[in-house]
Amino acid sequence: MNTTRCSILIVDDTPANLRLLSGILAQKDYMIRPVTDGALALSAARTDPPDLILLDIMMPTMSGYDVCKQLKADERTRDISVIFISAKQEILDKVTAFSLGAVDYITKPFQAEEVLARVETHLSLRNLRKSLEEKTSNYPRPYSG
Amino acid sequence: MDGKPSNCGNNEAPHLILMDMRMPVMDGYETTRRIKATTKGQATAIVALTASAFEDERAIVLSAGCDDCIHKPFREADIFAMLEKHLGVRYVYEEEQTVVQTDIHVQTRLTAAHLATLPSAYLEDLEQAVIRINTDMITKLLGSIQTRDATLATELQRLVNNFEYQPILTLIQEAKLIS
Repeated sequence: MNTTRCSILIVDDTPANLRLLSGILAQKDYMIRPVTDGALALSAARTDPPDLILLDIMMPTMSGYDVCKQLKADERTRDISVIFISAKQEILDKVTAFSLGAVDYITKPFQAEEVLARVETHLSLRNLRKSLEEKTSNYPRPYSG
Repeated sequence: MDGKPSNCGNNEAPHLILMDMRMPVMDGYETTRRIKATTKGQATAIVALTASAFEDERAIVLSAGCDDCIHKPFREADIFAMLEKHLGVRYVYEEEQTVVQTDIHVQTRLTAAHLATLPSAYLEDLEQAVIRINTDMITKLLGSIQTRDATLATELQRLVNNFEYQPILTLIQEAKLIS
């Protein structure tokens, strides 16, 4: 039983995009945490790690790639699933995206159903991994000395 | 309706007449000639409304005594331009409401002094909620601030709605120094 709602941090420098994504995800019972700024997103993720981060790539001051690098470099945030968002006209370097540790990417313009489906998939994957980790940690570690 | 002089305001001379040139009983040309034949009529500007855009029609209309001519279909602005030209009137236009892009940086009337009127526990909780961008917590806190100070809650809500978290954090820091 999962009583606490999943929280999703959405990072996009364009407020209109944030509103659009928040509106789409508000259809489900998620706590939406929208933010326009990479630095604020990082401090929010460190103090209260979300279950998933939707991260725009093209942002001024700190790009989505930079935010992702910092998330992955920090023990508190390295296990959070990151989905990149990029506009179609931008050259999305898929290899770079995955090498930075992202689990998926969404290209704009997107369909609401697509966003919801990808978010749901990655949240359930994450929950499975979490419960698996909890189970295995209950077993005594094999003697390795 | 028609061009008969009885309907043409012989008694109350208008300053300007918009004259349709194609009318029953008496057409615009005849009506114009009769009006311009009187002293009063000569002081009246007559603007012909014609259906034809040909230049020679314009010449005919002017030779009939009209002062100017507008082709149908005409725009509202054409009529106003004629009134301005022949009557010397000027217009005061209502300023167009420009849609202000409020997304980028919302001007806030919120001050640190105003925030400092809140109990320090509220400031602490609000700061934590904003740093975490915990929207559930923010909503709950704004709800309780609402009952104490509606103006303050409204201003904070406006900033939150525009994702302006940094100004809130800065103001909280300043408010903490005051209180």
